[in-house]
Amino acid sequence: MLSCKQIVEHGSDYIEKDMGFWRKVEMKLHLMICVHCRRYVRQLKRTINMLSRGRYYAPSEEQVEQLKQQYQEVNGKR
Amino acid sequence: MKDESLPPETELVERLRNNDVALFERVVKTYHSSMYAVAHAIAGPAIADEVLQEAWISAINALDKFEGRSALKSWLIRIVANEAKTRLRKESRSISLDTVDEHWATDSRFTPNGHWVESNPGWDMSSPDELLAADELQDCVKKHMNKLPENQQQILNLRDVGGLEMEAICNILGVTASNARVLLHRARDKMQQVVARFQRTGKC
Repeated sequence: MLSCKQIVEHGSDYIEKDMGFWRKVEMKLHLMICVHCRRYVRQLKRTINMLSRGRYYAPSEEQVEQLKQQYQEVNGKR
Repeated sequence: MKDESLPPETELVERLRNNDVALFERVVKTYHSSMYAVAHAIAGPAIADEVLQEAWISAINALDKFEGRSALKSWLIRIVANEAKTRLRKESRSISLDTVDEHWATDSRFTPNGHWVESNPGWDMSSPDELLAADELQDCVKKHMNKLPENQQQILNLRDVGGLEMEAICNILGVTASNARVLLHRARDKMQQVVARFQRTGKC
């Protein structure tokens, strides 16, 4: 039986289905009986989703203006 | 801003070719963050802005050649990754897994036999939209992302924030797929803990 720690160590592999058949079965069995690990996997999924949609490096207004200007210049030459 | 706020791809590209400045601004605001994450991870923070600027110019110039074989975002990410690779940082890029393994070995969340020490409170009822709308949480996530060991930060930025495929990431960073997976998961696990703590205590 896998321990909770092993579940946590392989959380991404489980979510991305990047594991062998038997390991997957072992993880599923553990998750069936362990509410804490089920919660962890759900939270990990939410975290990944959040990271992929967050805007952690939003451009400054100045950068946006500069890019718009460049866009218009190039388009003017098309 | 989410992808959903942009028009369908074919219309989007057509309008961009026809000098729709307002739409271009929305595209910049939507994709800039992911593109920056890729530039930052590959070329380093010192020249990430420069790389991004060049990438946008290349993209604007090449818009007529965009054939729509991939999504616009993937196309933009590829351009920025290529631009960044030509400016690849010079410093050592060796990837060490020692600190990662050490971390798992001494993870205080677990008892010596691998059980949770305390119940992991449920914040998973908060939808991703709610998490994204919480500015303080997003600032906290960004702060802790910057504190990650560099190789973990690189992979998290390339994969989750930038949306690059693992195969491309392994090629760019010169790491094996299994090492990349371990580093990525370690970074995600850390971010999960940051969100969990914030949701539990309201503290960063």
